[in-house]
Amino acid sequence: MARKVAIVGTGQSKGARKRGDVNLAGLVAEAVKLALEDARLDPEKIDAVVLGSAPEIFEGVNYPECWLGPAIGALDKPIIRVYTGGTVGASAGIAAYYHVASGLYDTVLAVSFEKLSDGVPMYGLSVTYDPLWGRDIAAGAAGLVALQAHQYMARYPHITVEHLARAALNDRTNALKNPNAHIRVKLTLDDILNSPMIASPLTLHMCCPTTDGAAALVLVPAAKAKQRRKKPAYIRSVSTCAEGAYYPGMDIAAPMSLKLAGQWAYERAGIKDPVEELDVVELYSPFAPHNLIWGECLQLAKPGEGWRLVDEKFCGLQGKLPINPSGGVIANNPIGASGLIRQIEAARQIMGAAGEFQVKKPKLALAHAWGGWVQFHNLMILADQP
Amino acid sequence: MPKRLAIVGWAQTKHERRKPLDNDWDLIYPTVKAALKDAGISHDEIDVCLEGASDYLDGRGISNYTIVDGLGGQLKEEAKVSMDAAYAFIYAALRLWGGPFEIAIVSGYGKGSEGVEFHWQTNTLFDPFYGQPLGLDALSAAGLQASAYFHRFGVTEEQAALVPVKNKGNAFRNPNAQVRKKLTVEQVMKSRPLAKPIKREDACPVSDGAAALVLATEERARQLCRRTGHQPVWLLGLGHCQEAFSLGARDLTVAKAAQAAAKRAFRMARIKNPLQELDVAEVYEPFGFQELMWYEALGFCPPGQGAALLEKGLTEMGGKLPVNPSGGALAANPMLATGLIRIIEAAAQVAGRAGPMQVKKRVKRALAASTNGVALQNCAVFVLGGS
Repeated sequence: MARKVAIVGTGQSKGARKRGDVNLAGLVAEAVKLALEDARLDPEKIDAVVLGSAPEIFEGVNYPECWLGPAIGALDKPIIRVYTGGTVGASAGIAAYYHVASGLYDTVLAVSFEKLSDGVPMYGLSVTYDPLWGRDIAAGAAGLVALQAHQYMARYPHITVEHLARAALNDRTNALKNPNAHIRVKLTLDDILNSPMIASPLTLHMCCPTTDGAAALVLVPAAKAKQRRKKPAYIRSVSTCAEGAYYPGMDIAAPMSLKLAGQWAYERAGIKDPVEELDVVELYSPFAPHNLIWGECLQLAKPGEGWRLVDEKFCGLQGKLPINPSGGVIANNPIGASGLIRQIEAARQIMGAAGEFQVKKPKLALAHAWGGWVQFHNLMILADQP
Repeated sequence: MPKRLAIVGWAQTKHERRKPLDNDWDLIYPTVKAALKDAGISHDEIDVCLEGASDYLDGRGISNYTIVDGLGGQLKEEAKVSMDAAYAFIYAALRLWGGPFEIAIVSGYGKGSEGVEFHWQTNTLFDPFYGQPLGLDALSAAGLQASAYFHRFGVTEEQAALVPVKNKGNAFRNPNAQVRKKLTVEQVMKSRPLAKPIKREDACPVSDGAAALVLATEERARQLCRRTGHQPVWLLGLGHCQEAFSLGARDLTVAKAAQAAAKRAFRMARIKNPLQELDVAEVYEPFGFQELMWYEALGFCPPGQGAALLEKGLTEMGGKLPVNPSGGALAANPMLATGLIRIIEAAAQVAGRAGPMQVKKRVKRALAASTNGVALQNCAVFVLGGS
């Protein structure tokens, strides 16, 4: 029987375009220190570490786990590194979950990071495209998402660019309250719509920044969680799902991998009506259309009704189901860490530690992450009770 | 104690210096398919798909991006471990122990022939400020380790040369091996120097190849093995550990991470005297002398006595504890699959399915060991057993 698991400590560095004052190891150590302090834990108490980072080409050091393990106080400990594209931070959290759930390890640290200022992210992302078939059209992530948005809007003509801009407005407005967010600018709907075009239909303010940042989580068995903090965030379920980028029938405007991941996570958590039962959602939305597309796949709205999810009365901080109260990935995107930050923000909501963007007494929170060619998705559902 | 897990099927390619007609998909898809067939299952029965793959070895970002369906991951629970696939095997075991899953497919592949020049590839494993400018690479680091190890324990180059003599000789029995050689110590000594004291014949080759295995929970494993007529190979213990990064901060003469990994795996498998209780071992030795360090770290002999153990013939094919009957990494090294292949070869010995490599004695307990990083920095140890 698998053990129940809880998150008892979270830490993240403040997002910035360039952290010239620290190297990669220093940046990662910052987040780890915060997470350990948050869990009131000595580094020696850590039994195992899971590291997650995006392409090594971003920072130019291969096998970064070899370097960073010792740098974060994890000397002479079991360490593995997962790497699943954009989902990776969340994959690290989930791998850490299985370390504890398996019964083999008690106190596990999940760490993820990205120091995008050390490299050229656009180049790094473009080499993910297939060397033979993909490089001619390779244009980082925005190229792919533009295609995705057009496909989505062509399918549902009543969805307009204004709906996309409203999603961006929600996240950007929320980010104003998040001290860790990288981009915090007060914008109007017109500002977003009229900002420079990056890749049609995505304007500048509908796109994520490139950020230096790191994040860390401390996980322990649920039975021991209260020893570390009064209000831990209990993990109700996790799920991961993949699909082939070139698999016949791949639907980038409604990826099957996310629909399945959602079904699995809800089923395992005993959730029947996600909109009614969930209290807060952190989606991995580096581009504005994602709040609509991911939301539909996760049964937060019916197919084609993603527009409901950008209404302030629904997704706003005081809304029915707040989406991205932290401001999300669009405001803060250290790629490898972004997935783990979703889990952190969801956990902090449950812990009642989200500060100015705290949602009122949430019982169930959902954290999502996306990676690869709309093909890797994973979810974590957190609860205030074991 | 977590529920019991067993390896129920596996497959690997023939390993070659260059497979110009096969891309990564061509390597992995038939191998995964063959492993599923060996286990007697279809794609539908897979619950979890895990792989070991590395962007920097593949020369592209998110290297599982185009091949995840070929790995068996289409609409499955999936993750990639960016280390040797033996570590993906660890994660697979954790998933089966901690999740609502019964069957996992684990795979790894290496296409060394496509990589850039070895020095530039492995130079980037070092710290960008203090390590890379010195020109260090995986080979020169191993050279430093060999020098330190030889110096401390008075082991000679000739003694260490016995490892490639044994392993490349064993490889004649391995139908998948890339390097098979009948060598003498003198021939090893005369082979081209690479990084003093490491010579060409002391070092693993560059290889193209892939491997995959199927891991299942107890009930499913018994059911599948009834179907296939194979013996289930139980996972009795595992452990992994990583020591310091900077070479200067390490005692290079001792494989400390391997010691810690072994301690954990042996405690789980209730092994007190490995030399007596294990029947065969497959260890990942990128360089010959490192097999001697494995003997010591695994407790087959006291520190510094690895060469003596080999000289006595204890780890030869007919010895008390044969090590690397397959020829080990010196016979084929498709990077990131190599560690998983050690697990497969050890499992084959337990199941009595190792063919010409099968050791004479009855194999009740087999050990597999893998490594990741430079100079045995991160090590993983597995104990497998029969009924």
